[in-house]
Formats: sequence, structure tokens, C-alpha cells
Amino acid sequence: MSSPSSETGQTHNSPEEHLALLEALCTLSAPLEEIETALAPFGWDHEEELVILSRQAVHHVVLAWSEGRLSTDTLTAWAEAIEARDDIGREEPHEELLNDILFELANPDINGALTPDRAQEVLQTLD
Amino acid sequence: MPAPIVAGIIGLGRLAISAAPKAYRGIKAYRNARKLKKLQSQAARREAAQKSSRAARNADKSKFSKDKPKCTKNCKPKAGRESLNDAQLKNLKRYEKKLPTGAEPTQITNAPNGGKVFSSKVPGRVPGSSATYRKTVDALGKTTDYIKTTVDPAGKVIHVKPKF
Repeated sequence: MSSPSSETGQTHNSPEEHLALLEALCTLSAPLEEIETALAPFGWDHEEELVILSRQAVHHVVLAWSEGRLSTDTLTAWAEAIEARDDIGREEPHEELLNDILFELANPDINGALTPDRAQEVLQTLD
Repeated sequence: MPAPIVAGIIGLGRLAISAAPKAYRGIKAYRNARKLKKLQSQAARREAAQKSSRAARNADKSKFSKDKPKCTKNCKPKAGRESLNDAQLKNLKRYEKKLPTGAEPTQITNAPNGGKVFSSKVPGRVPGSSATYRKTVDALGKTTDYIKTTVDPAGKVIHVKPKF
């Protein structure tokens, strides 16, 4: 993941990099803080959805939490980072399901903390 | 005592006996009539008092509505979708597309310089809790602010998270 170049100090800000970072965010294939820092220069107020969040990607992240490979804080921050971005769409026709899962994961204070049982239910709905 | 006199006394007695109930009924009817009149006048007085009180309340209401400004400094007048330009409408659609299914209808209010604020409350799973997603767009439809506020069942703000 290349955001600000460490050698030149310049930002690339290419559309390709933007897409790569958004895809990395959806699948959480790199540390969340790094992705967010790298994405900051691109903003997220885009008219077009540049990448689509799939059920498979959410399944992948929730499973990682369920198997103890991801902390609860990171899971919450990940959902929080995605939920309102204009440049990340949702897999059709599952937009509502994905929006509801992101809302639940991003707001444990008002939705209750995710439990292993609830995680299994969520994983089943994503199958 | 001569028989005609006795007969006369008896006749008068009978007459008195037969007349007494009539007289009694007359007195009772008179009393009832007075009682009715009294009740009617009491009812009329009560109704007049109620009318006057209602009139006073209405006068107060109209007084307040005339004296008070319709919108204070912090008041954000509501605006409908028809008040949005094309760019703002597109932004609203993007905003609503990302809201969860439990979201309440979006409230649109005016912001300075032709901007708009989209706001929607989403109830949490914990009864009484909620999150409010509040997006501000400028006159060109560009997002200038986006804040999520979560509130616990007691109405206390738990988090205010800037998302933009």
C-alpha cells in the first residue's frame, strides 16, 4: 500500500491507488489505521461508488473477529469507516442487509456488543 | 245540631280533603319550577364563564404567535425535497442509500448560504437508544460536514463522531 511516498514526500492520489485502498478497506487486507491514513487525501464525497462492498468481504471480516484474529475495537472501527462513505457501494440486492450489519457493528453502544452467537447469526445471513 | 248544618260541615270537610292534594301538588310544582329555574341559571352562568375563559386563552395564543418570532437564532426551518437543487438531491440519494433499514424519514433543514442539512435518526437495538446521522451539504451539493451522534436510552449523548 503506497500512500504518501516515503522517498519523495509526495502523494500519489491516483484513481488506481484510490480503488486499491478502498478494496483494502472493504476486505481489511491491511492494518485499518494505515488504510485510513492513506485514504484521507482522497476524501469520500464522491458522486460515483468506486468499489462495491460484498457479502463475502463482510463475512471475511466478521469471521476474522469470530476466530479471534481481529479485535472488537478494530471491527467497530472498520464498520464505522465504511458505513457512510459515498465511494463504497453495496452488493446488490443485499444493500439493506449490509447496511444493517454495518450499523450494528459500528454502534455496539446502542446495539449491544457483538457476541460469538450473534456473530454466527450474522455469518449465516451473509452466506 | 240540626241535620242540615251537620251535612254542611261534612260537605265542607270533604271539599277540604279533596282540595288539599291539589293545593299540595301546586306548591310542589311551584317549588320544582323554582329549582329548575335556579339550575338553568347556574348552568348558564357556568357556560358563560367557560366561554370567557376560552376566549381569554385564544387571545393569549394569538398574542404569543404575534409577538414571538417564528424562528429564533438557533431555529432551523424545515425544508422539503423540492427545495433541493439537482446536486443536493443527488447527495441526498447517496446519503439515504447508506442508511440502515430502521432509519426514520430524513429531515431536511436549511443551512446558511443555500446549504442543506440531512438528518436521520436510527433506533438502536437497545430500546430508547439511537444514532443520528447528520450530513451538511453546500449550495453546490458538496458535503461539508457529516456527524454521527449516538444517544443512550436516558437521552445522554454517548458519542459524537465526525465522519467527514
